[in-house]
Amino acid sequence: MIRVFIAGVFTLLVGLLSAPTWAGIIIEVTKGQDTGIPIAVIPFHFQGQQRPNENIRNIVSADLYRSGRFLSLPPGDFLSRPSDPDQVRFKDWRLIKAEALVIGRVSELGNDHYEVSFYLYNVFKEKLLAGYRWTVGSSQLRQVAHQMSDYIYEALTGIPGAFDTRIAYVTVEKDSSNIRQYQLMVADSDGHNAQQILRTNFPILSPAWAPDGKRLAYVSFASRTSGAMIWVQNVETGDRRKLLQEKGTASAPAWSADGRRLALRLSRDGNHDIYILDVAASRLTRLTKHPGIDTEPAWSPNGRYLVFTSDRSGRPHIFRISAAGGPAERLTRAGRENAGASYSPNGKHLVMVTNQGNGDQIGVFYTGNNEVKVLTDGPLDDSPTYSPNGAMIMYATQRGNQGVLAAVSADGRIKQILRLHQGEVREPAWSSWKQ
Amino acid sequence: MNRAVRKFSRPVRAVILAVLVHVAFGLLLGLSLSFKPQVIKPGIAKPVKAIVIDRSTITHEETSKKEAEKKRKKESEKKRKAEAEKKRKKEAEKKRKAEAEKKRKKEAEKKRKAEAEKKRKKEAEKKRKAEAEKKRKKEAEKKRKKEAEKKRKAEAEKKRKKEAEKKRKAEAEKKRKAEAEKKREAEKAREQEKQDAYSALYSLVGAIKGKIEGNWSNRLACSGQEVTISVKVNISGEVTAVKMLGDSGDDACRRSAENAVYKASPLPFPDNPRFFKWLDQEFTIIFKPDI
Repeated sequence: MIRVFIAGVFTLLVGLLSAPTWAGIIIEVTKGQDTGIPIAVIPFHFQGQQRPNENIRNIVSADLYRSGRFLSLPPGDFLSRPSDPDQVRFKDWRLIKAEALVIGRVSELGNDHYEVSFYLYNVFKEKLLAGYRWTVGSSQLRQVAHQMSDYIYEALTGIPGAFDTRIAYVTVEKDSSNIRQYQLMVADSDGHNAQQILRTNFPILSPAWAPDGKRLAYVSFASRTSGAMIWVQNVETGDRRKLLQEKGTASAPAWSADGRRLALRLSRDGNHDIYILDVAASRLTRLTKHPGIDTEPAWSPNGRYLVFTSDRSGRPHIFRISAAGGPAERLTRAGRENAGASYSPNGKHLVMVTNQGNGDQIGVFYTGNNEVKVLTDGPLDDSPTYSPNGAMIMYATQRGNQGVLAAVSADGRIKQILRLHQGEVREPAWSSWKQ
Repeated sequence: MNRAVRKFSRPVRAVILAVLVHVAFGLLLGLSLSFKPQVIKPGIAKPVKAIVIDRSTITHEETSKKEAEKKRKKESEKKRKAEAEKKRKKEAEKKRKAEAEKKRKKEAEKKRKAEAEKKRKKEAEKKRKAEAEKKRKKEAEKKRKKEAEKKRKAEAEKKRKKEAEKKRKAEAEKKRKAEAEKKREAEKAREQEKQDAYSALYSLVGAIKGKIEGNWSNRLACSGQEVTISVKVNISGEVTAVKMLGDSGDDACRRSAENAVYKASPLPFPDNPRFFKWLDQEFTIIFKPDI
């Protein structure tokens, strides 16, 4: 609503005596277009013979768009295409209402190497906000683009970017013999550069990134009859270590923020409960002991609490328990079912799968007021995972009969299918920042 | 005759003698003559036709009465002779008298002339004096008149000036009143204009807000925050300055608000140029997202 502070009007009515001491009109603005920051990312100028395969401008533009915080303006609107600071005419960008401008160059250095540079400007302040240069091989150009996106994102939102991070996920395909093939995949945060780090005929479950952004814990099986195994694998070196070999089932390992402990669900004692594994000592501690199913544990960022899914009150809901044990407190009450919760990096929200009667959707639970905001449409959305900066959420969903990965901005405004994959895609996990 | 008598001039003496003769004759005739002494004013006596008596005759008469008869014949002769002599003498006397008379007349004439001259001169002098006096008087009159004229003129001038001053003052007062009235009217008109200006601006507040909201692309940046900025506009509503007030809000939020304002430029603003001077060209805008 419009609030005009009437100090001025008062002056107007009684102040016929002298020049009014007009306090000025005060307008309160509450609504917005929420399109995100209009940004013009100019196609990078290429200097050299062999144009690289990667289009840095498009990668950056897509990153920024996907975050939900930017409106990347179409190059068709551009009145000029500067690539050098000297060529920038801010008027051109004010006219198309770009708030930010990115220009850059790619120069071929030979030997499959390139120099990449960019400048970021605040258009209306006509101010340079950032400028960086890289010299890299062609295989690193995508990473350069993501790092660029991170610089831009942080410069304009104040929040560290999380584009130069990775995601892990599991794919399921059938081979020519119609035998299921499970693969543990690691890709860039935009789904590109997917690399298989494990392939097996038996299910791979619940990949989880360690805080160092390099190690991945997951559950796999050696055979149809074997118990579940908990592995930790370094995705860069390929080294892997088996932490646990269970007779029964296990799932959902979750790293504590300090990386020293894993919380997970085991069915050791004929019951599904939450345990905590000291990684270095391989020592297990039972955290919950309830006849219902307790699963999908997740640590609070400060390490003091865990949330988990339990059907102890009937349908699955989210409960919270102290990391030191004790009684569990039910958090979610709204909706038919809520499951698979994890904390946002700032510890204020939980992202989870919520079923409000329209199937499974991704929702955010606000710990402050216990409200749930549904972000996605469902009906088969699953396995939400926060980006390390909390700005985005990745999840698994279905397109047609295919399982795919999708990303949604934390406010739910921008949703994007990351990548269509042959077969089924499950359980994405977004890495923390690389250390 | 004593010396004093002798000092008289001959005419005078003759006159005296003549008087004496007359007196003597009067006495002789027995006439009792009483007459008043006649004052003889020397020089102004009227000419008297005195009969000159010969002294010798008188003496003869006095001394020779007895011999009169005796001598009568002689005397007759003598008388005849005497008569002749007498006649001659008479002629001489007549001539002398004529001479004297002539002389006297001449003297008289001279005197008269002198008198006349004197008188003329006196008259002339008198006339001159009179003329002078007349002239003086005339001058004086003239001067007086001149003074009077001058005074009159001065008075008139003074009066005129006074009138003029009065008139001027009246005019000035009239003018002052007219101007005061005009000023009051102008003031009233200005006040009206000012009110119109603000009314016009108020009617645009919603449009201003709408345009800024329409350009607030990154409201999310201000989620849970509130920033206040001061916006200055020119006569066309174009944003000329943006100033953050206070230090609330993080950089991204502040920037989103600033950019919303810049992009909304020109802001809806009363398009009547006369309104501009009345309006505070600075708005305060609070960005407070309802998310």
